[in-house]
Amino acid sequence: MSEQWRAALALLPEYLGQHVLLSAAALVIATLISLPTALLVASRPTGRTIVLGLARLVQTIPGLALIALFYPILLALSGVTQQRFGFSLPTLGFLPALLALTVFAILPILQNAVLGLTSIAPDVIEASDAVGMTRRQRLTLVDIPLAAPIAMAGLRTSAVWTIGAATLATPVGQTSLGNYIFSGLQTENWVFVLFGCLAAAMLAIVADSLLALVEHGVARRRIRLVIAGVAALAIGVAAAGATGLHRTSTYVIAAKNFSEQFILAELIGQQMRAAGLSSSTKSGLGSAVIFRALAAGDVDVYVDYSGTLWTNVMERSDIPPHKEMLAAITQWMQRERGVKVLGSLGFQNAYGFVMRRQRAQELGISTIADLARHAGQLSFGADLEFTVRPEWQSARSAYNLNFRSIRTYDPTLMYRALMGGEADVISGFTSDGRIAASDLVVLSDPQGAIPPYDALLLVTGARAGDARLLDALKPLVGVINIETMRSANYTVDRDNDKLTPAAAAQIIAKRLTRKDDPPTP
Amino acid sequence: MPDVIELNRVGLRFGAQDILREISLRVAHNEFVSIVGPSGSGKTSLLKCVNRLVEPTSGLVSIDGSPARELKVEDLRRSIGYVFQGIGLFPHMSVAENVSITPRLNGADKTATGSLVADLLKLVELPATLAARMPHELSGGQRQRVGIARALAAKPRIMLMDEPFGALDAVTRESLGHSVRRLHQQLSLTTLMVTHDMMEALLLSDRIVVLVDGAIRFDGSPADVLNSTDDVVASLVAVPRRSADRISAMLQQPRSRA
Repeated sequence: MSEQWRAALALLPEYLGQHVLLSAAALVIATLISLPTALLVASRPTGRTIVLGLARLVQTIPGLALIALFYPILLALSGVTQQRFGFSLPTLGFLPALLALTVFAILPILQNAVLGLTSIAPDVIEASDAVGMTRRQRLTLVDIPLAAPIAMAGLRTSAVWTIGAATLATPVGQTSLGNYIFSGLQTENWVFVLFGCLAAAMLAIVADSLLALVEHGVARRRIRLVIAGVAALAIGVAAAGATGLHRTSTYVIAAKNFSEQFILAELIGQQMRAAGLSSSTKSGLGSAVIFRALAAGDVDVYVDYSGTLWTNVMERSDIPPHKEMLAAITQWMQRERGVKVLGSLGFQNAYGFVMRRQRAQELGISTIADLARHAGQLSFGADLEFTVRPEWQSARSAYNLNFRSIRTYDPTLMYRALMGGEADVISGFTSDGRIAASDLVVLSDPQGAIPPYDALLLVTGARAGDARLLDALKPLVGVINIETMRSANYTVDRDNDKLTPAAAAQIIAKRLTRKDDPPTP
Repeated sequence: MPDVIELNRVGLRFGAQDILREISLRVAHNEFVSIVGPSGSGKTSLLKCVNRLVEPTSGLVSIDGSPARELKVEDLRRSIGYVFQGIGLFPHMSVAENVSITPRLNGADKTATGSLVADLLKLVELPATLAARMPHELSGGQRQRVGIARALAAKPRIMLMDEPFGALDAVTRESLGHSVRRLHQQLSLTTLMVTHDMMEALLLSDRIVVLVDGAIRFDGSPADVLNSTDDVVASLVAVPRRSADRISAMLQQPRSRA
């Protein structure tokens, strides 16, 4: 237990620093947008309705979706800037997260600022005119001072929202306190999940209290309170900046959102560190995002699976013999995307239909064809992307699969559903440690409807000639067998005595060096 | 010497509605004129035409012989005191800051306005200790006295008052009324006051203008008002007259009993 807390605490400076920088930047920009907009529209009922309506509309988009949407938007924009001005925009990490959070942060500030400006008593407005104030004087002497405390209250609401929503920046590759939550959820590390939630809540409370101090100072016209609050906020952000920006790494390793990917990213990182190369990790990326990020050069290295690349990226529906497929992928990647396929790590992590052994035996199911005969009585639990992937289409039409019900789960919870009986069959992963540990069976695929999923080490085009990087990574090719990977995955996924992905990666690394058999050339 | 305020055939329309019709009115230096009339008769609009809080649709308003519309509107307003029922003290400013606002708009700095604030508070019979208070800490009467002090701060020659005692209790009205009349004399002001209360107009003014449906119905001294045969004027005077009669009757009874 305390091991996990220590591991979480060690990551805090980086995660918290990044989280603070991201939230503060979003709030500052949102304020800079909201206040002038409020001044502009406060006295225009139509403009007010339109602007507030727009801000409210944005607010109805779920936070995660909003952040995710900025990735394709930036990708498209980046294409335009590349063509017109010869530079591209970063499509992952800080920029999309910042833009989404900024848009998200606007409404409370804007709404309160408009409220503050429109709720000034008519008598006060009449007096301002009657004493002979110009428009500008009325703005600076009356409107702004009277609206300021109400706008400040909006800023407080916005700060609390933004700090909470910033945890959702993790899937687009921006480090935040959400890294605890996302990785904790995938590896069933509840200490991490709890730690991430507590840290985000504490940060929100501290920020809210300091802003409350400023608000109080503004309302009561106590300049000292305002200065104290603003100074404390500035020191906090500066400290975050110092820890957050200090780290400058040369290479970016990426990982999707499951345990194996976290372990492999750690393993790659350790390997590079041993070769004297510094790297940072963006983990929790979606399958579609991660490959585009590699192709665009936002990510330097990651591990993807041949079947995924074949069906999703190359959009192929035929399934050629294994070796031909690997050769075709390597060629296509090089030719079409400039991506270098360094080789297979030595194991496959295929999609498979997975059942509890006892249940499968009761029903006499051992192949997907057997499964199809019983599917009408069975409920199917899939991970979040399986039912929209081509493999599912292909398996379903090859075997004519019609389940009684289909539900999608987060991968971790999907196994829980299988064990708990809510699902009879799940879309499991063949390298998953839980398959052996929980006495599960992977149904065979006699028709070959699901392609093979070799774990391939991919390097972005710009690094394809980087000899130091390639030399650091090459020792990993062909040396990790399925048992090694399964047991490493299980150490992270199991309920008791679980290891961090970093610790699991170290175990793999030790086995690699202990084994003296040379890697396949 | 031209009249201080002169309205020449001033008209005001809102859409299809005539608020003011062909109003011509002259107010001489140091005259105290009350505008009386039923609600909706256009009294407030007429007053606001003087400092251009309302711009007339037709006709001409002149201040000291020069057309008001040719002056810079802020300069015009800063040179005219304005007191109204809503008072409109700035809630985020202290009494001192409220009182000194117009001189500060005119460019005076804070140190120069310090003694001015003390003088003005004294003039409106408020203790100097109130200077640091915030408006919400004052009583209604004190607030309106601050409102009057604010209106006087830039040493205006004209004072416009719109139901200045409307929101106050009878005792406060009475004492504030006295103060206003005293200040009018002491500072040689030219005062135009809107009120719906004929009694107040009779007791404070040199001249009373009765406005009905946006037009002047009657213009004369308090004595003329009391002797008028005009039915509207008579109805406006009826209530104060009855009250006065009843009170004088009560005052005579104990004597007759003795």
